[in-house]
Amino acid sequence: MTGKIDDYVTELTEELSLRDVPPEAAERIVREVSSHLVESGEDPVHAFGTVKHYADEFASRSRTRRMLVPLVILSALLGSGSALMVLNGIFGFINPAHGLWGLEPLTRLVIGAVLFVCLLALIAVMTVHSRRRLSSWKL
Amino acid sequence: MDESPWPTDWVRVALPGVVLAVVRDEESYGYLIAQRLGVAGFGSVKGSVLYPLLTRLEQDGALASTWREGSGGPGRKYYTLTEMGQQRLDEYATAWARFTTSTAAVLAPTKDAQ
Repeated sequence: MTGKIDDYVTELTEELSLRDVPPEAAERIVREVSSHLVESGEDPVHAFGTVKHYADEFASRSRTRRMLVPLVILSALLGSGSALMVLNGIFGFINPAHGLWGLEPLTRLVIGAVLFVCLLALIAVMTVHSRRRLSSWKL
Repeated sequence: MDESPWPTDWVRVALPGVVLAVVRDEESYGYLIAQRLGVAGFGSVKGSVLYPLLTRLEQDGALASTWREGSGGPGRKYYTLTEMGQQRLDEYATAWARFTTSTAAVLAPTKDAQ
């Protein structure tokens, strides 16, 4: 049973963190669940429902979190695209024979810089959104 | 613990006031409150219902809490009723009495029906 409780509270901690519940509030929620389960000997899912269901009682899944996988893929594409274009631009300046899709080295550098700025903007928006939810958390 | 003889919706509506009353009677922690509710005839109140309610009541200022360490365990979070909680409970009890009186009056068979 202890293993089951540990798994449940670990998963619940992660889920609450993903939903921007402040760490100290999440710790209290998880500790109370743990206390109840140890004392009652009940099965975690029977007493509290699934982790996602129980986390729903404290914070809904934000749009950002629901879009987490697409956002991670987008960030990876922006990051790798930016690095590819910037490096190719630099190599193009060093060796004019080094081409990429017929683009001038300067054009590659500019595209790389634009992609990098887009990546920074995406991270900034996600961070601000997360901070706002964190600071305004209330049941 | 036995199943509640009451519909779930009724229990949910009554729960905030009843929990405040249990804590008024005795400084309590979650599992103890669940047991008291079971003994009082509310059946097995799930943790998924009870703890979010306790958190909400605490955030509203109706309950205050302190953690007490257990021997090797995670400890217990004890709840006490605040002044605001007592006021809320009084209002709740008055409103609930009026509501049940009105409901009973409407539900009682009329003279024509007798």
